Amino acid sequence: MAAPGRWNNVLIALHDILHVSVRQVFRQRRSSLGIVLAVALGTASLITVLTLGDQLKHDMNRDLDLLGGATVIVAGFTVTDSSAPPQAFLPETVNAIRALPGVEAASAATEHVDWLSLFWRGDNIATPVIGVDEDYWRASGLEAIKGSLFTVREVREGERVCVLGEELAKELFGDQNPVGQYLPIRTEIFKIIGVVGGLQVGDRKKFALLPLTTVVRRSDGVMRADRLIVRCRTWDDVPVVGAAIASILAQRQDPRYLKVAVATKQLERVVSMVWWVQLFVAVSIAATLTVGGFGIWNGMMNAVTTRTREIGLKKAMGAERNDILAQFLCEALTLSLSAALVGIALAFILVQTAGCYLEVSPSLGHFLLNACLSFVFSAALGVATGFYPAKRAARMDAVVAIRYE
Amino acid sequence: MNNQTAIMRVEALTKTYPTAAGEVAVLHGVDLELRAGEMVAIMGPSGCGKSSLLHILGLLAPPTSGRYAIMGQDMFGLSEDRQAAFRREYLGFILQSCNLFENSNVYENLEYPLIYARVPTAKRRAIIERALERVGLTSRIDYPANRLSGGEQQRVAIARALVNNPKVLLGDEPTGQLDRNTGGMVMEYFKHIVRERSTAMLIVTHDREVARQCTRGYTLKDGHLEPLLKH
Ligand SMILES: Nc1ncnc2c1ncn2[C@@H]1O[C@H](COP(=O)(O)OP(=O)(O)OP(=O)(O)O)[C@@H](O)[C@H]1O
Ligand SMILES: [Mg+2]
Repeated sequence: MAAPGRWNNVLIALHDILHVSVRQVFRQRRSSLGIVLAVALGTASLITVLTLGDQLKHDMNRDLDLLGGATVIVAGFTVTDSSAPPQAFLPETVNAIRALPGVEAASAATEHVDWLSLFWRGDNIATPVIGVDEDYWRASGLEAIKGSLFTVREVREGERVCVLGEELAKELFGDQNPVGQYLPIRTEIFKIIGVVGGLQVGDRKKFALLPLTTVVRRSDGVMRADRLIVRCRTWDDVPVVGAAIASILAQRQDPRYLKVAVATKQLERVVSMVWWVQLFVAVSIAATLTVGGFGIWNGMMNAVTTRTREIGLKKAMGAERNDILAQFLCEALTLSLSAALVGIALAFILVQTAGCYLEVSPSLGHFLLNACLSFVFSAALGVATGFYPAKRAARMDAVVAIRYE
Repeated sequence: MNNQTAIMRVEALTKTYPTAAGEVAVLHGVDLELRAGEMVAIMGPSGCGKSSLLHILGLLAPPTSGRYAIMGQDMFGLSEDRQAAFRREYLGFILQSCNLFENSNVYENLEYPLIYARVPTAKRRAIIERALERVGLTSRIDYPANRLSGGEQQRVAIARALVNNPKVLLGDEPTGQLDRNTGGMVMEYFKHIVRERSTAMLIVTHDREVARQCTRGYTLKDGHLEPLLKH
């Protein structure tokens, strides 16, 4: 008999506290607004960064890398004694490196550039040619500006296709579209399937790029797969992958002449820059939340003073310490949790917008998880900042409070 | 009526305040008995300790020594929460002014004592309407408290003090801020309530006219109560 009555009382009390606190906060919405906004902004950025963090890191890697090549490892051979046989990366070595975790793309290509004569409209043009495999594009960040790039099939079959650098294409074809045209190189005819260009193209804008096998088969041994280009997923993977290349190669072929080049300087710069950016983001979020938390604390402290009389009257009508404590605590919670809700809504918009902009689709589950986390965090913030003011209100001497004008 | 048992009984009550200049004795040896249906006035010059006495009787402040019982139960030995429970169940306060929560409406003001007494939500409206009926303010139930006139505010405060059916009403100059007419009207409400519901009431006042309308009157002088001679 006593137990259900007790629970009933607790339910009544909870309902009233919630109702009264929400009402109070809403009536003082003018002074609450700033606090709620500060906490909401902090929460929104927290959720956004948590939800998009991985994606952002990956994208930033890719974008920064286009400028600096910091996540690209280049390997080759330096043969000093003339008696050594010509060195090349075996297909199984390349495949094993491709399979490493943290490797985005690994490509074998020819180190040498072959100057081949091209018969074009009566002229004989010496054109630089290299052989590359199907992963070359991703590994060195090249994109087709026209047509397409050759795939594993063309490379495996050693087909007579080629991709032109944009400058070469312009030189030969002017404003005409070269894709689908044929190019006589030496004594053979090659079909042009695409044109590469963009920021990363560099020297290769003047090159003709042919399938690796096609080039190797037609050469007397000078052109071979003696250059390896490995793009790592993130800069964290670079040292690990760099070290693994040597040991993987050693299991399959002679490692004596291998030389691996990691862009350590660029890598360090990029990593430190990103570290600063991360620090900046973390500090901004922390600062926003601190300002919000301090706002709640300050607002509640002020409320306790300005509402002294109210506290006295409530005690006079029989409110217990816990009633007063619960009410002020609940007001702080109402502030922080309504801020969290606003923040979650804001974060949803932010994540969607950023997702559109970055061309990724952030997972809803991940977002919801982070939203829940930040909701719990806001609740903790409300309790942490509201507890002391609420305790003060609850402890206030009833007579002092009632005499207060 | 005099044969009835006392609702509240105070004996040998003392109160001293510690100050920088030493102990100040405000009350020494206050004896008082309050029975149902009685209205007792306490007068005295400013600073003589009337409010102090009322706060002690209202369980808002501890005395320095003495005995105090409500309905035969000793009050001073109780924990703070038990005292709060007694305030909820047996006591109603009306102060000189600023009795109401300004940002709340009349209904919400009267709801608080019910909230603390854990009265179920569904029962509250009827109780509040009945209390407002007694002071003739049913029509103001949804008014914001700070839109009411001074007299109306005091009447709402009375209604709020009555909402829990207290056995004792404690008024600290409840008519002090009202003009003679409004004050007279409020006194009529008090008399009506005390008579009708056999409540006991203690009124601190500066007004002889108010004291004259009470069952008994005392002057607080030199820390104890002296009976007031009628007329
Ligand atoms: N907390 C306190 N500490 C020290 N002295 C106090 C304290 N509270 C009240 N006093 C003193 O006790 C005396 C009685 O105060 P009290 O408020 O009870 O008087 P009062 O009779 O109600 O006066 P008034 O008619 O002006 O309301 C005053 O002299 C006051 O200064
Ligand atoms: Mg006083």
